Amino acid sequence: MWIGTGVGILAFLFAALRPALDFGLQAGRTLSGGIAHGHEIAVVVLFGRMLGVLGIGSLFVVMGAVLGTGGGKIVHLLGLDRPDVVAVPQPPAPPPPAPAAATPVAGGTPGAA
Amino acid sequence: MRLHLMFLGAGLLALAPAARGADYKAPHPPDGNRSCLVCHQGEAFGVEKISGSVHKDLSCTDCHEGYEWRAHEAQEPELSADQVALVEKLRTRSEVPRALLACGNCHSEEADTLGKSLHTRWLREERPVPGPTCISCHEDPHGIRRVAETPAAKRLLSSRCQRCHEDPALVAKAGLSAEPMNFRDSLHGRLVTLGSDRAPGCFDCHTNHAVQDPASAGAPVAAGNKVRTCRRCHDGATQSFADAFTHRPLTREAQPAPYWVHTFFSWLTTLTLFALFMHVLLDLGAEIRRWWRRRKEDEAPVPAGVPHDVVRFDLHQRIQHWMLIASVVALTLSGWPIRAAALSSSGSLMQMLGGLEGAALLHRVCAALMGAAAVYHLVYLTQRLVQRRLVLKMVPSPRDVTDLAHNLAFLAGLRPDRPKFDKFSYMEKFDYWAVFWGVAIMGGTGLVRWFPVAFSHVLPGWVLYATQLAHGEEATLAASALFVWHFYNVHLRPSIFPMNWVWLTGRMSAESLREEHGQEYDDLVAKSAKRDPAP
Repeated sequence: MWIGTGVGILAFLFAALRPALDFGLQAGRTLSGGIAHGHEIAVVVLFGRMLGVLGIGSLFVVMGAVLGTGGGKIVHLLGLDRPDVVAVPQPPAPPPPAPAAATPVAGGTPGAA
Repeated sequence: MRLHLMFLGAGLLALAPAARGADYKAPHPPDGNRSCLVCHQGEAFGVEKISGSVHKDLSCTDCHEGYEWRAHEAQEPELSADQVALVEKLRTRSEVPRALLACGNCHSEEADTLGKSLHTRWLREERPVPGPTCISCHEDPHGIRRVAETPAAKRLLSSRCQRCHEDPALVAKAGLSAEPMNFRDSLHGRLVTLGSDRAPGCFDCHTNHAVQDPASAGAPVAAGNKVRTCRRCHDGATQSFADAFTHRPLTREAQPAPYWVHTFFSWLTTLTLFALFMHVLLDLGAEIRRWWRRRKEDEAPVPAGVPHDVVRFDLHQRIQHWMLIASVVALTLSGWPIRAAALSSSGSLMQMLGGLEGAALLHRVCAALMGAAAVYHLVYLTQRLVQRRLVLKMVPSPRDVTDLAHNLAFLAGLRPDRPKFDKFSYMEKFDYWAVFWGVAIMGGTGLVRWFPVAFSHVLPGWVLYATQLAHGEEATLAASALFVWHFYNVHLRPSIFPMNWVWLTGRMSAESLREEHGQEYDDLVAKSAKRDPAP
């Protein structure tokens, strides 16, 4: 999971941070244009940029985390996360002890319905 | 062909050749252009530049007429009074105004057409802004290249129109309109920017050399001709359809309904996203506080007899959710590049999706998938209603308001515990009803955008235009809310990262239920105690 998250964050920083800033800027300007009609509201534009980064960043992080988690599950199912078992010759196991004689219980046999 | 002609065209100088006759031949200096290039080197007219140009076979003196070998002992041809006046006018815009007259020597047809155009009228008459010359659109004649009918050429040529018609200072000085045109933000403009070979550039509707005042009867975009012009690409286009497309600035006076749609969605989006963002921030603060204090009281064991987990999503609901996830993410990815077409990253994303055609196909397929999910959900609800199994716990109630106030106080650190939410908290109800609203708006407006000609038979033009605005702006709201708000609540919140597994398993553990839906958990415990009373 954490590896996937890290990959997601790195992919976002390298491939999508700039587009996210640009998309956010565009969204901020559009919203600002609808509110102020012809004027740019700096706070709204900044808010748009922030949303662009958070939104697209979230997408990358979540995709990375979900894929990482899925990959982790597959690795676990395949047993690749367990250390290799080395076959070491073992001495023969002692014979099992003889079963003890059943103790009679008053009122019937144990387990009998 | 039109595009080709535009590049060949040039013409103002229609004025020039007529006076000379067809057999006129400008004298050439000995040794051709090399004589001139001995001195005239540099970026403006280097050998490389000229040799790559469509004018490479011309002699310098074909345009700079009258020059001989001896440096600038020019005997320039006689000009008419009109031409002299024009050259004087052009002197402020070019160091060699007489050379501008030479375009018409070869491009006489284009020059004739241009001579009757609105652009030339502005050049000849006394206007607040002089009209364009050939090089205003075709740029440097020394390096001019033949441009094929490619999307890139269309984009380039349209950008040259926009250079003047979208320049606020020039438009204001010329008195063309209250505000500059906005072709690049129109649907056609965005498609041209993204490299569509089908979307029209400026000259496809307005023509190039023959451009007329849009208000004049002969202009292709005049009121009486606009429908015919639209039908060249859109079979069956109606007057409503023609009215819907504009690249005039959106003003309250000219287009009141679309103006108010734009205003409404801008306020709605900004305020909603601001509220959601603040909620996320407060929640994150509360999560950090909780982690810091490492509170243990919530870790008491679940009483015996209470189920280990409960069903929150049945299989139908999970399938509906999966359909919605796939469709909304793909719709956002394939639609957003058109919304932000001017960005270079939009072009790259569009290429990754298979170009405009690929993205358009993906967008429509996913729209159909989203519609199918909506129908599936309505059928599911109807079936539950018929079977009397429909639980109306998703309907907003007054308790949600008190829960909201209580939760905000908790998130702000003013109350020690979060409210005990019932089966669905106000946040989940918001998500659910926001999807209802979003699917209705996006689906309804998207359907109109998908079949604009058909809808233009029953809807007025301003409705068609308003649907375009609403579709894009609701998309901004929906995508931002999804990726910032919903993703935080179900994925990124530290206590549940990487995800709330309910969307896959459909089940929630009793511990999580106690934490997130305290009222439902208490009801479950009470029910268990009633069923299996303690000895």
